[in-house]
Amino acid sequence: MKTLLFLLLLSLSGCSIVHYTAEADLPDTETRAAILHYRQGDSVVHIVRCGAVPLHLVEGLQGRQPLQSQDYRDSSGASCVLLQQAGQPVMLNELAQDQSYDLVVQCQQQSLPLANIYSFSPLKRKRQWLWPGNATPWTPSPCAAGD
Amino acid sequence: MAVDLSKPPHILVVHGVQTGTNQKISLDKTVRALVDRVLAASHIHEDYQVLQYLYEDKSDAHPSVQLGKLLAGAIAKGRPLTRRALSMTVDLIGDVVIAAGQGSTAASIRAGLRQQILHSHQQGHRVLLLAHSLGSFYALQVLNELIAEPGLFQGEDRRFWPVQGLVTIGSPLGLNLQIGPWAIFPKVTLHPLPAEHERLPWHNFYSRHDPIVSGRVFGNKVEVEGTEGPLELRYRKGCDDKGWLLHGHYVNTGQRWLLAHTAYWQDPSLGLRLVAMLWG
Repeated sequence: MKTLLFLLLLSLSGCSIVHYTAEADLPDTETRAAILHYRQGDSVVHIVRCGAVPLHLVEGLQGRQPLQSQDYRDSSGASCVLLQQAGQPVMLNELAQDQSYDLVVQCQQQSLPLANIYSFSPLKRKRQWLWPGNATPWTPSPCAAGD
Repeated sequence: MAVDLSKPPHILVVHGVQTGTNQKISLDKTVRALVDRVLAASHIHEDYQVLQYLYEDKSDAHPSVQLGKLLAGAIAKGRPLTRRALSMTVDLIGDVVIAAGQGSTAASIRAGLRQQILHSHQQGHRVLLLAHSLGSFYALQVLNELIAEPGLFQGEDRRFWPVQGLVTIGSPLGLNLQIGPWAIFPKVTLHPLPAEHERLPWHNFYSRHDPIVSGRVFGNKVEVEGTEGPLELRYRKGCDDKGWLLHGHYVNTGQRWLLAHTAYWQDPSLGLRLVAMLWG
């Protein structure tokens, strides 16, 4: 009985997720802004866009480089999409509430916004509670108003 | 044969350890819901198909599993709940033992997966392999066999590749388990891709609380180096040089212990990645 109770507590012990979101206007998206979304405890930062495929920013292959896209690279192997703050690269553990970040796009590719620097609004923090029956992590809808 | 980019791509799902029969597995619907959600939320319209490779019936037909279930029935005679619990345990352990044993049943499971991949490819569909748990062991082995076979992965042109990428979730491939003389998940030697520039993407998703990833019975948090978890630490060496572009991603599904092992199927991160791999 004690074991069962222990296992039950263990299963239910992590029932909330902290999300961070910020918005920016990207030229290749539809009516609404693109949304930067980070779930605390994840190694990936997502940028979801209305009318375009999501972008993923990670800390390099071995997790020791600043947040950038591994999917889009130029001919020299440099990442086409980076996250910066005041011109400086950003690491995953540096993301914080109320801070502002810039998305730097430095290649012209069909799947990417035009090469430029795009400023995101300050990061908002939101806690999601999970329980049996509602255990799906929240994710922003880039095309819907009111996220 | 080259894939036809106008045809819908195939996401081929390879399940992990299971109880019950093939008919009870409907991961295709789960994955479809995950991808549809991302496409709908982003106002993207794309056609695709999700297929399952099912091998549970092959595992269940193995004589050891049959014998184990008979014994479970005899031991728990008159106690239906105990009988069911014992039978499920035999079923689950049987799946792992069959994979570790690398005997004729495991070979037949691999052959079936290979056949299903090649069938999709020969019809001109791009194939993306998505493998959960034990399924990742079979998927990696089969993908390696295909790469090693002359004429299938042809040089730099990805359209000739029978598999466009591998996604593993909740994979035990990082575990270096040895029980007596048996290695449970022996390291699969990666075969080099016959291409100088093109790379085969391998995205591995893991929860740091998943006991199947860590091998820690009570789900203690996995230690990572950057984003490198047990699988990446075991497979990183030589991986990049051989053309396998391995990315480790840890995800916070909000679940712990065994729930963390099955939570990937509901995780939007997985849907986002599949969409980016297929249409990015």
